[in-house]
Amino acid sequence: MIMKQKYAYTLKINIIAFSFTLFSACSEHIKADQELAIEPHIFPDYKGITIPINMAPLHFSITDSCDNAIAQFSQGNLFFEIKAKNKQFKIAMSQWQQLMQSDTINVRILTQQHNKWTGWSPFYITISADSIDPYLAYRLIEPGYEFWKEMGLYQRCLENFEEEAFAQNKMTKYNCMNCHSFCQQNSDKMLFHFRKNFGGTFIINGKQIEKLNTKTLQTATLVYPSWHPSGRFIAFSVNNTQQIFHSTNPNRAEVFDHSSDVVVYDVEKHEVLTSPLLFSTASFETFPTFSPDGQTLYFCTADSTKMPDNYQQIKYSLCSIVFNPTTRQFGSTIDTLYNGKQQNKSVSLPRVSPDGRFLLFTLAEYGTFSIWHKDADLYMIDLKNKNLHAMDLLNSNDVESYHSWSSNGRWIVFSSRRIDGLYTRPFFSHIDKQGNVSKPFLLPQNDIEYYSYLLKSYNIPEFITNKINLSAYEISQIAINEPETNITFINP
Amino acid sequence: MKNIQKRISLFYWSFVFMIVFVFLQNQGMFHFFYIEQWNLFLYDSNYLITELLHPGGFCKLISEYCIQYFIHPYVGALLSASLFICISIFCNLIFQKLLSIKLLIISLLPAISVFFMHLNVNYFYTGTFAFCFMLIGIYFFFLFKSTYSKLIYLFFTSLLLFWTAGSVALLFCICILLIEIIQDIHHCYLFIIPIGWVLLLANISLHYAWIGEYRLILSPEEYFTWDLKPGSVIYVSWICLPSVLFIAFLLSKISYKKITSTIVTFCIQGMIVGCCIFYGITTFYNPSKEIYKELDYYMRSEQWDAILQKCKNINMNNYLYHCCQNVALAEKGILADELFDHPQQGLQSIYPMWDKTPYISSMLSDVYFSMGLIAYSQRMAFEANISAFNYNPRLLKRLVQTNLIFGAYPIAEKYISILEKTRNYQNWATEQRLFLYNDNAIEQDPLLGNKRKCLTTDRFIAKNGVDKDLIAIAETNPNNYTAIQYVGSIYLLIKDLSSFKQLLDTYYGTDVLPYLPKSFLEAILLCYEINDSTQKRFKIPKDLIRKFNAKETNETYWNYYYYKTIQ
Repeated sequence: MIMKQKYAYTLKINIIAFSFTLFSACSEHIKADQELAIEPHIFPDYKGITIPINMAPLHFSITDSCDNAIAQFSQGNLFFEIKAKNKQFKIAMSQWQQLMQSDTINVRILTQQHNKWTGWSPFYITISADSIDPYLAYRLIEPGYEFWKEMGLYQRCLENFEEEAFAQNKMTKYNCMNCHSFCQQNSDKMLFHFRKNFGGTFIINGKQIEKLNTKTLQTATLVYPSWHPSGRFIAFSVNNTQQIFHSTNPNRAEVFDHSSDVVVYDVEKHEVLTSPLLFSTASFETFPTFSPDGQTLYFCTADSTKMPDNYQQIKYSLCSIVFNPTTRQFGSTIDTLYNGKQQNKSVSLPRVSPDGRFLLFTLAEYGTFSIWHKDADLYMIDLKNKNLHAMDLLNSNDVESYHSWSSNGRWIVFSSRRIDGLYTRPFFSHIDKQGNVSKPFLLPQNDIEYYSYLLKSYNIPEFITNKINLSAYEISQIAINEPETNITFINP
Repeated sequence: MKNIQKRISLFYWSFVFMIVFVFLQNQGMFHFFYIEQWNLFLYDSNYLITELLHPGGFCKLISEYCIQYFIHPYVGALLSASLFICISIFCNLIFQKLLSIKLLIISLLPAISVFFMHLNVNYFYTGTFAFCFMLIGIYFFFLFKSTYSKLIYLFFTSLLLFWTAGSVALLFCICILLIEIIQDIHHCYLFIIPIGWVLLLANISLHYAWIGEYRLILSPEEYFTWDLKPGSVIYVSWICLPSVLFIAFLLSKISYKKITSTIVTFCIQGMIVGCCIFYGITTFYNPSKEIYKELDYYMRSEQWDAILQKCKNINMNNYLYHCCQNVALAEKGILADELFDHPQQGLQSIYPMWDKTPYISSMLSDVYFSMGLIAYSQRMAFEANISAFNYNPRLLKRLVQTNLIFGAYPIAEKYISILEKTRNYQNWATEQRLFLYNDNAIEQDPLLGNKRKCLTTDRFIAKNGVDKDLIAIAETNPNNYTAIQYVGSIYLLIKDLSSFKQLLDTYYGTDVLPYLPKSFLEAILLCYEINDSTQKRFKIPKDLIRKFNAKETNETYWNYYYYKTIQ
């Protein structure tokens, strides 16, 4: 049956391909009056990128001045032209699927100005056989200071342009919602926090939803999460955070912790565990993340200091501690993978690749809140040989901050403010087994003008392997009606 | 006879229109300018599609489209008066169809009840357009005679109303039920079905998160700033329409053959309408808010003299008036000269407390911009803009300016391209493109160049008090005399003479404070021992010392210092 469907699908594609070829053979192609040896300027920059085989069509616009423009797409025997509408090229899904049959797409742009056609040097898009997880989850919020109005947690299908909210604060009295996190990219095991109205941490396990009051006598509400691969534990940081504003620094705002610790929450027993090595007033511990085997807990740490007086002196190191999920015990020593103090840099947001080989993190001049640091860049450690290298191909002159791995470990998504310096956008890059990355590309949109109209940032982009089946309505009803479950702090 | 009736009708509606128009133009001219700022229509397909995909989105688009023309004098009053007449005429036509009564004065009541909401800046014009649409829907209902065709009409019209106009679909169905009760009580129970249909639509909308709460799709609260509680006042128009229908039904039972009963009926109606207008004006109309809207308009259009002139003629009993006045004085470079020629009431007169409302955030953005605190002006504009769902032209303009000053060109360009999608701000936005990636052009521009010179070495804003930030600006850009005037004025307003004295000791005679404005000279007489040396040092005019000794305190700092109690 499946074979039959596959055959029918291939046949359909071939018929479409044939029709296009026939059409393109019969129609007269535009001939350039002059040829340029340079590539055109397009937005988003999709020139020379590598995309997954299941990516949505890459719509783009030409930014060079022209009256008319045509894009000629070809791969193998397939050739077709698309005329720009308002300087934007939109590719029909059927045509796009045709192009995705090969390993490279050849794109040539012709522009018309003063009745003369100019042919630009072609560019290529490589198609990787490594597929990408079909959904991306993120929060849309203004990159604001204190205020927010409407915000929501969204999932976007990467294979087309469908976007859907799975939580929206307009349904819960405009509260704040944040820190969505998934257990190994699985949308059936996830969590997020609601703050202020109907506040609590929501743990979703299939159809079961639990609303937690994560405040204990020893801890304030839990913040940055990371699931243990078993799904039984979730590591959290506990942060006492403040923000303050610069008068002229391009970074605009400084967000820092007066204190922070790391704890591990036991989902089954509703208990919070920690170790004196993770829960100390002598140091700030934050951004915990489990290794894929669940035996190691990575986190960032710095000596505690008076903030904001020493805000530029605070350098977070990347450390790890052993965690035994069976005994719920932590190791007695801390390993340092990157010494922030020695290197005069500060680590945030460590994330280990699904195969456990690489650890990707953000490195900035100082501090913990890298999204406001223009110098923040992505770095990666090869955990096999402890080699560190800057991800130059991914980094820009502006902020690179949050990042996450796809379930197969072949794609990464990261937040960057490179487009306008303020509104964060998600970029994707292919990463091979050796850790080599390809030129990043912006999340495609049906109408690429959407980005100029959108005055919200993409916050915490996370891959998910399946669609979240809970609706914003269901979540709001649970937030409003369900009682909270209290949790217990277990003294280390 | 028919012609006479038509003429009477035409005269009546023209007369009502004129009254409403004159009232709105006289009392609400600046209100229309004000609300134009909080509604922005974008000529952008993404924006249009986003709006149209929500219940009530079509009416919202129409109202935003119309409001963009409120920037021109008379248009706001003209359009609002037209809507008023439109609602009244349709009410009257409905009464005619239903009860065969012509020219009911109480048909004005629903329009009056809607229009008093207009005086509240948190009310959306969408509600008025939606109300109009609903009345049109009711009017056409009378074209259908059989119960079956009526129900089909109701099914489609309520769906259409629900999607285009929002929650008025429920009021529509309730009114139709009432009409059916009046017309045919035996079959009226069938007309409960459309109400159920609308409730079902509301339920679907909530399930698909097209709307956040039931109250926003089943009540007039949809037409009020969603995160605020409008109170019962928002329901008046919804209660009014069915009530008037019922009153009209009662009036239809009166025999109009006798002239006396006609006169009495009309008098009663006139009295009801008169009482409602009186109640509405005394309850909803707040002249002080209208004054603020006028001052705000002058602020926005940088008419500093107009602000000062207006402030002379009003009771200065509001901090916001003081702020507008003091920004005007600062912009004219005479803040510390004339500060105490005008009424003041402590620090808030010059530096209002942030209450986190978009209105005060917007005002503070202007105050900070005037002070030269660009980062804070930007922050306040950003916060206020978020509250205005991101599209307020004045705030977007401020964000363009502040980003240009900082040299953050890509983000300035983003805001410019948004403003270029508007009708009223397109030209301004395109003109700003001259400054993009062009430091020279910015430095040569009198406004942007001067503000850029105010950028100090980096510090955390307000960490040690706004006075320290202002002193840093004054030190960085001594040519910007406004900053030091603000600092001194703040000290004088809070009667902190020791800080004032320290300021003078540090900066008087330097580039930062080369000469002393009037209020500073007056304050010197309070904080220094007056002798030949001080007189010579600060160049205090002899006449000023004479006035001080003679206790001639009128329009001086001494008067404020001695007699004004501040909180």
